[in-house]
Amino acid sequence: MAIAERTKAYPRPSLHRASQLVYRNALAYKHYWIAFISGFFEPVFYLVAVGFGVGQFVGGVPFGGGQLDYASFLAPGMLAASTLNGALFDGFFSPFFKLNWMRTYDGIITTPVNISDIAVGEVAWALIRGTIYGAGFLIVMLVFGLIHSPWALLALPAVMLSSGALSAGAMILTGITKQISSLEKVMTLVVFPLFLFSGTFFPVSLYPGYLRPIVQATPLYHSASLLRALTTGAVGWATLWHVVYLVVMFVLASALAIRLMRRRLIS
Amino acid sequence: MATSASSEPEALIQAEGLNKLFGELVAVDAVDFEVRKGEAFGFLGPNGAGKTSTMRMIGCTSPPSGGTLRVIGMDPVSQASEIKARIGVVPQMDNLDIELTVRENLEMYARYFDIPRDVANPRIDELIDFVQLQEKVDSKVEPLSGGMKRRLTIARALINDPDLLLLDEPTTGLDPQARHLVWDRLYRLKQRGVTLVITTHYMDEAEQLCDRLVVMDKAKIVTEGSPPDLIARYSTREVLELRLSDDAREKLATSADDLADRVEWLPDRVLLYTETGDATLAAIHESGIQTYSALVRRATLEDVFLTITGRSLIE
Amino acid sequence: MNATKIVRRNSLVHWRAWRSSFFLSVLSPVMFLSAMGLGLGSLVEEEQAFGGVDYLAFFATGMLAASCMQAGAFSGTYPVMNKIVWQKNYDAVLASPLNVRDIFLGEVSWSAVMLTQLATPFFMIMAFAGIFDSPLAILAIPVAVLVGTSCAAVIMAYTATLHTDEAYTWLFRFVVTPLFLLSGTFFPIDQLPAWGRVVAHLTPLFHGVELVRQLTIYDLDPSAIWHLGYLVALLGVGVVVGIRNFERRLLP
Repeated sequence: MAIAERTKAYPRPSLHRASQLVYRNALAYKHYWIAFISGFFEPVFYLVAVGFGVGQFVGGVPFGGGQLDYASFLAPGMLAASTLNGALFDGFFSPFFKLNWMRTYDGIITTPVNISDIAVGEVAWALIRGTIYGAGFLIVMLVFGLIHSPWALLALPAVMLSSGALSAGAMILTGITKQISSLEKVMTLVVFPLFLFSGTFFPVSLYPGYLRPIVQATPLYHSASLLRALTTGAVGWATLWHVVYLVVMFVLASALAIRLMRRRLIS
Repeated sequence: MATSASSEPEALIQAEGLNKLFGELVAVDAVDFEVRKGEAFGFLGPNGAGKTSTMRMIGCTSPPSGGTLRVIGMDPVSQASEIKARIGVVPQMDNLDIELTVRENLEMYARYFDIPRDVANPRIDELIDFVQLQEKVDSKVEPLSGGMKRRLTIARALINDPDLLLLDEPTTGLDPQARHLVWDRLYRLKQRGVTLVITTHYMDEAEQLCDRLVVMDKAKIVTEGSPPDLIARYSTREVLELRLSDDAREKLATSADDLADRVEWLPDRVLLYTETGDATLAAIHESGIQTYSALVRRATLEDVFLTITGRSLIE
Repeated sequence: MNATKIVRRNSLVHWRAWRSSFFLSVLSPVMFLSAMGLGLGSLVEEEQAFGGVDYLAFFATGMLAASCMQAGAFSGTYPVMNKIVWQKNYDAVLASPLNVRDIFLGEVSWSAVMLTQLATPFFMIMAFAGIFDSPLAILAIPVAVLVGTSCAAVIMAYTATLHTDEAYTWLFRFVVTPLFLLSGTFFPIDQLPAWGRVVAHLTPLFHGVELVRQLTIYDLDPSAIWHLGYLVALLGVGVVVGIRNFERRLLP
């Protein structure tokens, strides 16, 4: 069947076409700049309230064989969590509405821009925004004296990696959800547990042994651990594992997300 | 759009035995048609007849399940990007970018088509004039009226100066003024040589706009021709509409078949398809049948359409 | 009372979505509780700072009031804007014998119903965990509902002045979240700088949290009257201003 064979020859994404999606989002945010700026503050509020507010009653967190003050422990966790927040917003909420509500993508695919360009463009935008927030948060950490190692110079590329991997993961959610009620389900059943239990607020060593492997399988655990290793200087070979996990997730999730989006838009 | 390479076929769209299946459901069943350069071609049919599926296959956003389809001489699956670069699409439901302004919507589409800014900017100005949205350039899309949104969608579809414009029910849901404005703009595009492909279930729209059309019903093409052609083929020149008392109806029933080519008995009226309505009416009055009211009108596509697809409601 | 009709309409509409949504709305605070109370709480060493109770008890009781505040605040935003701006349901309601006052009071009562359904299981989980044993503790439920309802009324009054949902982004980011984090839920407000304590005293959540804690884990003291007075007054102001704003908006 000639047609069935030809449909397999999907066009490859082009960075140039994908960049138009990034431009589109930047243009839209011109009208919603408050939302853009305000996204930066959420993890800062958590850092102040929990890291310093509650942290002063915490003697120290067992970490890397020694003790770490709580704010220094929490800050990289919040940095990782902010990449999750950004990924969720730009990789899921916003594409969800463009796909199901505003039907923006239905219009775009009538132009030479194709679905893989759209997916790459949205992830690229999420990555850019995550990087801007991450850079801001790293400055806040520096000002509060929560950076303890020159390895922290690599924290920004690590933030980009984390943003990319998590946004590609979020795009998978876009590809499989249709109902508005899914948003709440995803928030409560996926995002919230990740945010709270991925070694962000307290170390994995506090979990009973049987729960640890589950936590250590989650992407946010790897993102938080990687960033914590870099900002505290506790870098070792194990740190590389976190990088590998996130790179693999980025590649696999992107491929799957494009496939799912295609199924939704081309019928 | 006037420059056509010599290799380019006169037929902009060619379909032979074109199929579209969604699982078990046959949406388009082995249709053949051809759209020639510069004409306005219509797909007419009730909801669910397969018009939109056909349009989406032409627009390269839905791969055909079988048969052949060539759009501007190219294959819509393997050469989708090349085809899309040369067509404009006005979808059934507006999918304007509501987070952007009117002008930004056009700017973004110019970018998606990779049109250089120095070409795009004057074209955007020209299109905004063309669809009469000068006052709304910097307004967001959401507060625009339905007619304005439709016009903006049409302007957006023209941003790449397309050879072929696909319009899926372009005036559904618009008020009469807005419809006439859209028709006027489409007519001007046709004058400029743009090939139009239109789906509609409005007969007046098809009569106004289309040089040639096909009628689709239950996934198949049931007939093809120009509007006057189809009227000549499936109807008489005129239609006489009568409202009668029950007695008169009974009387007419005995002689009606001799008076007209075809008679249709509706609950509230009787339709007599005839070459000269006035003569038929005179004959009825002569035979002593009283009418409450009588209307002689020219036969329209609607008569053709209802003759072919039937009067029962299709949901 | 005509306002009950609005409550009944909402409960009809929400009933199907309710069961799953109810489960989800209880699940979030419970997860928060285990992460902060058990996880982070196990790291906390200086329990005397929390009035002699462990951090789980301190945080959980604060969280009861805080999650009601958040849910109440939310119920005054998108769902109400939807009925005013997007779907315009109220215009249809006003074509019936119901008036604007009925609509507003109905929406506020609906928030209270919803919040009760949130606070009750939350309270039962805490009781089950042995966080408190005083019979007075049961009063923490109406107090938490009052916190949420007064926030709902104030925000509904605000919603009636809006035409788009853009303002909600900063409302949640710069008002609700800081309130949630800094009004004594996570740590005692005497840790705040002096100006922060003054601000905290002006927020409904601080008063709600204090009152809930006095009823559950601390001893009731005369300041309870002042805390309760504040919350009742806020609800009153929210209702009066809300009805006025709704009238201006719906009957221009």
